[in-house]
Amino acid sequence: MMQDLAMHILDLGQNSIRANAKNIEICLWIDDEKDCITFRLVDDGIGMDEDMQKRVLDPFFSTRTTRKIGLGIPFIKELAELCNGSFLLQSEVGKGTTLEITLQKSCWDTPPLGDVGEAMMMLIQADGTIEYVLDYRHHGEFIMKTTEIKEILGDVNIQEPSILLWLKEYINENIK
Amino acid sequence: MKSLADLQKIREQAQKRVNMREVGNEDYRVVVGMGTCGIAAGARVVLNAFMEGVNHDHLNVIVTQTGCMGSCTLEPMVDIYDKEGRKTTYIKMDAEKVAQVVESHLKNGRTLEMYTVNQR
Ligand SMILES: Nc1ncnc2c1ncn2[C@@H]1O[C@H](COP(=O)(O)OP(=O)(O)OP(=O)(O)O)[C@@H](O)[C@H]1O
Ligand SMILES: [Mg+2]
Repeated sequence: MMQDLAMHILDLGQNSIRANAKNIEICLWIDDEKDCITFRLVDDGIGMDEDMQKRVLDPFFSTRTTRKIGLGIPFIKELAELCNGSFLLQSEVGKGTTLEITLQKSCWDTPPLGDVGEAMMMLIQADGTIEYVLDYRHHGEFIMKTTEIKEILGDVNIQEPSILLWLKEYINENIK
Repeated sequence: MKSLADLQKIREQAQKRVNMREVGNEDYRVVVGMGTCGIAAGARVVLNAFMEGVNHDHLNVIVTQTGCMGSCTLEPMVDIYDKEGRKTTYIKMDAEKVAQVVESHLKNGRTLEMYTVNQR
């Protein structure tokens, strides 16, 4: 269902948006030597209590009456397990949520990165008031901060289609 | 390779266009369903295609997103609202259909009935 990591970034980012996050940081670190991909999402949204954290991990919880619990988090957890990786969910009510998964890069089941620029563009498009940070490391380092972008843009909205489409290309060219 | 230095130029072009149109008085509002089911069904391609279309032809149209639209089997779904708030729902969209909807609905004001929810 989810063909690439960018799709998960978009999906999990949407969770943070719905949790009223004001800041969302996405780290994507690829370490060839350690044969490891690390994906981390940190938000300062409403967070989840312990009970909720347990429930979101269980896809079977949702199957009958409760359609409130969705698929996004179970998907990424399953992926981490499938790809010899790890899964970590930390959350505190009123503080925010951190989700971190690692994947074995060379594992057969590890999906391609996909269109990371597009995922970021779509998150900004979903809510332009949120400040996003993309921290991408592979050989070199590339950091995109919407605060910096907005400073350059001045009174031009970051959600202008031409700006968003430019950002997508900008990110993709720099993380290649 | 694009750098932040190039953004200044893009900004100036965008500003000219913003000044020419009336913000808050768009001809249409396009709402793309981007819940997990929508994303899995291909909503990314659909959102992209609308953004490209609107940007390419400088249409006075705003493109936005919403969460799960409630009918997973009809995804990717898109609602288009006109100035009076009338809604048209397009279902099972893809890039090709979006191109047609941009041309017909957004540019010429003609609903493409064959892709709407009524034609299911
Ligand atoms: N970052 C977050 N901050 C606070 N609550 C969250 C966060 N991510 C998930 N949740 C809670 O966990 C629930 C389950 O998330 P999950 O992504 O698995 O499904 P969903 O978003 O509800 O539906 P969908 O299947 O469309 O993703 C959410 O409805 C939300 O209540
Ligand atoms: Mg979700």
